[in-house]
Amino acid sequence: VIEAVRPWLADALAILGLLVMTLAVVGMVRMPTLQARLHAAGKAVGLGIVPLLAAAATSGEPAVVARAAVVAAFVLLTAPVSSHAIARVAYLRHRRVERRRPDGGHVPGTGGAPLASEKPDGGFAPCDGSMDPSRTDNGEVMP
Amino acid sequence: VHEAISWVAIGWTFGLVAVTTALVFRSRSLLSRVLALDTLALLLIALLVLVGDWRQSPHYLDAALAVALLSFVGTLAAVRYHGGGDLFS
Repeated sequence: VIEAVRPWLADALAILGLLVMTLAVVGMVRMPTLQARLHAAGKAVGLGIVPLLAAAATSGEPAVVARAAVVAAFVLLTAPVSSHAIARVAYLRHRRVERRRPDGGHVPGTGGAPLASEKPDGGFAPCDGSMDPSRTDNGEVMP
Repeated sequence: VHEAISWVAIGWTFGLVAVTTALVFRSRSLLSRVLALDTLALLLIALLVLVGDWRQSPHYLDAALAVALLSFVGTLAAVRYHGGGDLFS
């Protein structure tokens, strides 16, 4: 029975992986802030790469299974670390900008101006690859 | 994975790579760009896995591991340098 199901299981896993990768890319295109984009892209590893590796490993060859396990373990361990590093630097730079403001910055939950991280950064620039140097990573215009 | 599904999956992943490359060039902030590059590396790993499965060769997975390693180190280095601290704290 397992031999009969195996190729279909591989197909299903490959399609699941592709679907999740597609959703991650759609999220990266559509989401307005860096944090939301990180949230969308963070899903691409656990449910995107790992099912593809599992689909490759259903052939049962020891060489493929071993390599797939190593790649899956490495990617699962490192993706949260790099996501956390990006989010941490965005937060630290955002806090630095807030402190430089004359009003001392916005305290969450007390009303007043919304956090810069809650504002969209306007999507994407024209296709010349240039960045606006007056904008921070959260889309805020520097004082 | 069946042959037809393999072909469709490889073509689809190439499309995702194209979209993510456009995202890399068009993102407004440096951190968004780094995130897009990280996702691009992830898509390259997916492409290598799919091609390796189609060609029935385990050696593509070695290349996938190398890409994963380089993208991790590159992302961390770029982000920490951008953060202004030193790279190893």
